[in-house]
Amino acid sequence: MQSYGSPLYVVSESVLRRKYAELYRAFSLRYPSIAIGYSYKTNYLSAICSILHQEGALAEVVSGFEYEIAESLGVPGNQIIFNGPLKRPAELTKAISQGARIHIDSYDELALIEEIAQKLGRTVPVAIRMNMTVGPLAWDRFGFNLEDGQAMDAAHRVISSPWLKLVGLHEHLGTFVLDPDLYRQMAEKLASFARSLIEYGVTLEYLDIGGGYASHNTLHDQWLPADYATPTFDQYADAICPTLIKNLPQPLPLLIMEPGRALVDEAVQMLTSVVSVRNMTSGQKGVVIDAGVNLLSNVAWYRYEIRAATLAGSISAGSILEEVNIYGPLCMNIDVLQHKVALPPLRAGDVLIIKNVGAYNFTQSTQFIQPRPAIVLINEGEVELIRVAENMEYIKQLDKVPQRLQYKPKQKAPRAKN
Amino acid sequence: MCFFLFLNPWVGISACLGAVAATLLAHALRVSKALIKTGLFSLNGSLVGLILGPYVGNNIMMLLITVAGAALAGFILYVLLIQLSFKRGLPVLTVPFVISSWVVLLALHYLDAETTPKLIFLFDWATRFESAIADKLSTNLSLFFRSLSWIFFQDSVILGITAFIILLLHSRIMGFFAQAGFLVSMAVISLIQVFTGVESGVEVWAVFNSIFIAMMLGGLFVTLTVQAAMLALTAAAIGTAITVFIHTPLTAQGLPVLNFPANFVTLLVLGIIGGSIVKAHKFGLNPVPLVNVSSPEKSVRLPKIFSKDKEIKLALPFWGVWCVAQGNHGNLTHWGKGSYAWDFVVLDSNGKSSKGIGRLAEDYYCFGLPVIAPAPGVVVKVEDSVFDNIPPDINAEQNWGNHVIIQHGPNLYSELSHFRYKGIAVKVGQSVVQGDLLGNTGNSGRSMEPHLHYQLQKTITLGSTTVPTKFSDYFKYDDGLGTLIKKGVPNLGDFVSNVVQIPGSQV
Repeated sequence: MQSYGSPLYVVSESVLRRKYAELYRAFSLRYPSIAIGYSYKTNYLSAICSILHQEGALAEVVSGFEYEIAESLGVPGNQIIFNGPLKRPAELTKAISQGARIHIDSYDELALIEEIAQKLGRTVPVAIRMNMTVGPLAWDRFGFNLEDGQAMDAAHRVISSPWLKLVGLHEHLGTFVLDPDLYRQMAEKLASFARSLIEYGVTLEYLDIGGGYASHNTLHDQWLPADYATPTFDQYADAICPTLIKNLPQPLPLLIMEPGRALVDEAVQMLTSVVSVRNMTSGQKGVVIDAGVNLLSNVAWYRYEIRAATLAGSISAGSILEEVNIYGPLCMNIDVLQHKVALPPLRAGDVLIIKNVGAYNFTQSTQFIQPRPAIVLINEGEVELIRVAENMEYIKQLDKVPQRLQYKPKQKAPRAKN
Repeated sequence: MCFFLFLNPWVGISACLGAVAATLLAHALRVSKALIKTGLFSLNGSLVGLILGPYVGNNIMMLLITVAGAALAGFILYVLLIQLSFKRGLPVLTVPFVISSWVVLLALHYLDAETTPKLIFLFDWATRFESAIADKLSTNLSLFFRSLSWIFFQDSVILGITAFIILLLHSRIMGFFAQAGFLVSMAVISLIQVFTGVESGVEVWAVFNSIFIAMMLGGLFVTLTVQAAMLALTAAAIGTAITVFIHTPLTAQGLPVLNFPANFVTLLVLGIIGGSIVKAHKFGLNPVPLVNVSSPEKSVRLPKIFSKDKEIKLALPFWGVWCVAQGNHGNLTHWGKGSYAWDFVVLDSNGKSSKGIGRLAEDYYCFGLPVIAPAPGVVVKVEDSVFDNIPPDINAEQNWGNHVIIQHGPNLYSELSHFRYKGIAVKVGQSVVQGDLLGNTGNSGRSMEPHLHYQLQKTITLGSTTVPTKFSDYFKYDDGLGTLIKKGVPNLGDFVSNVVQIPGSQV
């Protein structure tokens, strides 16, 4: 922290690689061919994406912007999965010519792709994004619905088009799904839909079951803590793979997953320093730290684990714990990170660690009154900087102030107004 | 059967009783239900009943002798099943019936009882119907149908026509070969007649045996190819000749030829094709695995059969990366006959095979993981009723626990064992291709901790001599980096996986 400042995101390369290997292992033992598409929107730090690509991950992007990030990292088009409701014509044209996997979200997009395909003079292999009701999960704003027949309609539309070829199905159940059985139900529905396409002469190349796997964090209204509640990758695989094998037609298609937080949440911790300690009127103690909801927007989802870091001489081991509220530095009443956290007595300058913050906090962070902090990568004791802390120069880069608005100090005599 | 009850109740009754007697004997001998279900016992038993039926008449003594004969046939079948089918993969056909009937008839002959089977129509109109039809048909055609009716050891054109229709419904190919066999045998008989006289009554036996041989070898027990067809007809010709020449000596002893020549020739040919001396597969002759014998049309669609272990391309029988816990010549259990076998387990990054201390079978990583077929073949044996052990107990009684045996060739079987209780996904008779799901790894049998046991062996019997073999096209991992091995033997401690294709990635 002395070198890089406070607050500080710390990414662990070994944890990232380990999570990927665990996920790959769980599924590869249960299904003949699998591919993992890392969901960029969860955290598209170049270093993190690069590590995962080194491990063998495909890039799953939901915008042209993320597509470009993947491109800039050297990911070839045929290893990019292009999802999302907004795919601009230029972005689609590029994706199609590079051979990316395109998952169609709406009829409008379908028409657009056909147009582009015609212009380019080639048949485009595509998948349709489906949605379905599984248990309590019924997201129906993405893709084509299975139960009301839209999905079959869309499939027909693709099959009968001379410019499109249906090669895959894509489904994404929800987010932070704690019950593996919901995945089993989804797998069953997907597999029987895939079967019903056989009579139209469609042999699917792949099945994309999306993401939504829970990470080692605890939701606010979750009774059991993450240690008990978060399913292991083996449990997800056990729910999904046997059902697919039993119900899918031969030959078994490639199985693609799009995990995000399950890979990256536990790989990133935030180090933050205590700014001040105060007593609220209710008697409750409050601790203000230098990271707020501008950097940790996902406190709205989770009760993050917050620990005190023991620096030599600062906090003695074995001290009593007291319950404190943790506040951020922003001048806004909503900037509460957590209520009633058990911590040893703190003083200004002490360091706290907020654990498992890899998912969405960085990508959804704001630049509200504080420039974003630095991000470092630790790998077997070595520390490397992977994102420089934002500074004034960087922030002012995009501002364009018209000349007439330039600040001039007020003259000694007041000017009369008429 | 009903036909006989209609025409000659005694024949019908003795046929039924014969079937029952043989089946009861099978139950008494504790033959497995699956085997009794195949109908071999009933078949041989009822055939004995059929051949001896005409002598029964009102004679209860005869009836008892018939039943005894059927039981004897059942016993002989039991013995032959072990010697021929299990050990050598050969069908038993109707050999028990022939042996048993000859024994009884020989006895009757020396006791001076009547030995000519005769047809008795109880109803007058049936006789007239029979002759009316017989007149309409040419001699040859009538001979064809009459010989078909000899399957039931009756000499009736109507019965033959009915039999032929049923045959056609079951398999057109077999119907074709029945006709071909008929023609071949007529040709051979005519040829023989040029040189020496042929007794009357021989024709029907010769034609019958010839038809039998042609049908058995023409697609039923040998996969239908041009070469198999030629072999079938040649064998039919030989069978005809044999029938002609043994007819006289046999009749002198009061023994009908029955289908001895057919059984003899068919078994001889199948034995040669299935054996290792002649490389029959090079000539396009592939025997059909016994569990799959149903009709030539179905046998043609079975996956390719290998005859030598050198041809077979074995893939590892699992998905993902596993580790060899015991390899060939392992000193725990892979010695002697069982030397060429492998035990596979899944290890974590710390080299442990279970979570925690591994108190329960479910704690082990490989427990419940899918097992897949290493090469195309037919499932010939399945067992799934053995409970999983709680580690580290072992089940030494049911050594192999739950298992699957796949036949890849006449003398080539894969045995995978220690599956989970009720964890088998295939049925006997099912054809599988490489990569098909067989079941789940478990901890049944002689298994201290969950693992997958694999061996390639020579016969269908559990734990028979293992064959040294190699796996093809797999990855061996050293420090996480995989090297492709085209053909190799995984050793103790090796981490291996099948080749995985991910489209568009750098694997």
